[in-house]
Amino acid sequence: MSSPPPILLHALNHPENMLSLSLSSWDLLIRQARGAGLLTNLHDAIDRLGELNSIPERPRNHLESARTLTDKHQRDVHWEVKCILEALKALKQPITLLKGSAYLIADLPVAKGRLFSDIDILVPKEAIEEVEQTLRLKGWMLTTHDAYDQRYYRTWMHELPPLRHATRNTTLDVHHNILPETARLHPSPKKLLQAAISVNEDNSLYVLSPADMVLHSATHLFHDGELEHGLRDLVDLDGLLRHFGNQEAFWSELVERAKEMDLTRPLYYALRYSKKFLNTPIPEETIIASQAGSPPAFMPYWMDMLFLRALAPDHLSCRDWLSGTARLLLFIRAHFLRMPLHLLIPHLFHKAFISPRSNGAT
Amino acid sequence: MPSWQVTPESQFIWHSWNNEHLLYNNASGSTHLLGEAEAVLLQSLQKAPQTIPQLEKGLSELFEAVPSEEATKWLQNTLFQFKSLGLATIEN
Amino acid sequence: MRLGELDASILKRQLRTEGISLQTGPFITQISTQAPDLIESLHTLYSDALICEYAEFSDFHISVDRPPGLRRWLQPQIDFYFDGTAPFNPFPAGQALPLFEWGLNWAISQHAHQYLIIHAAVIEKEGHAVIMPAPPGSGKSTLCAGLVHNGWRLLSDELTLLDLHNGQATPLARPVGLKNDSIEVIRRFAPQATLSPITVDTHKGAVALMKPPADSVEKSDQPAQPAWVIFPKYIAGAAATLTPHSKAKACIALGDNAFNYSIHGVNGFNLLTNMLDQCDCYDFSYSNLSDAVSIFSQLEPPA
Repeated sequence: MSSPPPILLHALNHPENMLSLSLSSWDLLIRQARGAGLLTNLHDAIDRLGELNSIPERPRNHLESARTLTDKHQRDVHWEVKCILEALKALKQPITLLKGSAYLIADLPVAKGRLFSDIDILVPKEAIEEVEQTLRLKGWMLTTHDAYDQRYYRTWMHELPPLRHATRNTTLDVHHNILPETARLHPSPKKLLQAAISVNEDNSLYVLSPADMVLHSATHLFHDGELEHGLRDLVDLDGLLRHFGNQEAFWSELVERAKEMDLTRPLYYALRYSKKFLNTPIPEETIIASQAGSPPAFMPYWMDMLFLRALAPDHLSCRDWLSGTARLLLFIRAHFLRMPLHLLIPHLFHKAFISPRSNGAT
Repeated sequence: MPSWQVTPESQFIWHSWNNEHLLYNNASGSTHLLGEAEAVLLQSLQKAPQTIPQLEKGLSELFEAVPSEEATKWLQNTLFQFKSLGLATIEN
Repeated sequence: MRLGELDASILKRQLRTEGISLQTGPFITQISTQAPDLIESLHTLYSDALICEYAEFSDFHISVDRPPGLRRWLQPQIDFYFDGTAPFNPFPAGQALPLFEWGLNWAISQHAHQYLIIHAAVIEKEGHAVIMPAPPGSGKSTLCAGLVHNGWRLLSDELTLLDLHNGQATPLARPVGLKNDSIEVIRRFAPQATLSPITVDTHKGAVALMKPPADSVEKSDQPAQPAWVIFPKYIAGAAATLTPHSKAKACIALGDNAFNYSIHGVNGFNLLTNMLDQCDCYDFSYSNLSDAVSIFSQLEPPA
């Protein structure tokens, strides 16, 4: 991380200080928060203080605009989940929501400020074919027809190729595990589903248990290489830890569950960086217990150097000469973690030389 | 016999000019333009879930029309259109 | 101060270094560029716009520059950067001005959800505004350019900003894009208009931008209440004719032409339906600009 620390982290940790910011500090803060996808979080933090009207109009417009967009995303997720349930009704196969849509449907505070891109669901591996067929009958289409991509997903990945609904244009990722078949770590999807919690009346919709939800979020961020929205995902983790951390039993369950699920390493990183960036209140004994998952000697320093850069807001004011390299190294690390080396090399080659380079607008 | 109802938990906001009716569905976030007959049908579903014969009876009384094969066909088509737009569902 | 009051060499230096903060309608945009053609066009087209000498806060941070790398020597291109990232594929180097205009429209429509933003022209006379949504090729911009040199004030040619709180149209008086034949039509119809040099070979054909009338730019802080929604259509040889348009269909059309109607949910629905309660809606076919101007001058605001 370039010094001084990004103004965005300061604002997230001390929202009351936003009330006395100069306009030029607001200029930088809005840009960093936009880059990180955290404008609505800032809006809500000020709103909780009851002080929205005391900040200057120009930055306030951007915060309110982001809130409006977030409301729309949340409305869409509620509706999309309804449509997915309706489509799968006859199948009588319960589904488990993962990540953002799970936080929203389970009404967790962390969902409030969040933008959503697609919906992720987890189903037992035995049922995935039937689920796919049913969805494709009801208007969802495969997004990739490239034979290599198809084979890559179906052979090595923990999910189907993304499905897109023909008229609503929404994207759905259907998973049968939270990590690829080939990954170094092997969390058991059966155990995840057994512990899942029902969130509707007819028990057709579930979310992961609190400990599993945190572990999945940690795995996604620290093992899966999804670092584009690194800071936003860390804010999710922090929000989950703060919310569930109110229940005393949660922390010991979390540590135990990490051991049981073979996910002590991602948990170690999650607690370390959540505390470091966002001052997450974590009991001392949990920190000590999580050390069991710390990487070998020398690694922590090296990983700190990478993650502290990769997790900073994705904005030019937070980039230094190592930021791009850090994100690239972590991307390669993530691929390395999810695939044995002999598979990794052909895959990266394919990605580098065959896939068309697209300059996707966001 | 299955009965038709408006999509549960949806809220409709109406705005009408002459015989054209705009409808905003709070659940789906979509706006729809309905003709007079379609609007009457949907509004009668809003009052209570109904089977197709019940709807036919109510509508023919309202429009003072004799039930016909054509009217039944229109009713069925319109209901399934409502369903595909997320405005109505079938309950068994 | 107004941009035109800056000495050309100072403007050039500022644009090439820290940039300038340009006020267009409700937005302050920080712009920097190395492209000489864009610097010159900004000097011509935005000379009446305010620049903020010490803007501490800008809504958007934009630069229009050559992408890095070897390619710049082979096939020169130009990129639009929004706060340091390039959201689009590069354009050929000669098209810096259309790219800037297009990019600024994109920045506004993606980020300013305090407005319902409709892809439509909007003009005003005596406090009453006409909103003109129309697909490309309908002659909307030509009509708009003709009218704003004949008694109407330009609020915007491309983006109608409706304030969510009061339904008023907020001015965003920026250059009007003219394509192909309409460039010559406006040159003849409004010889006093200032036009940019023509850019050829954009995906739209030949494009020139018309400088907004000074009076429209000066009144950028005065919103207007919509009184008409008019769907223009240029039809060769057609007489200028207004025919009533259904309000419900106009509402659907406005929603379809909006960039962020669905984002606003029920608030967008209420805004449009309440606005249309107060508006008359017409289709307007025309072929001759003078006839069009005379029909528009006879419009009576709804009671």
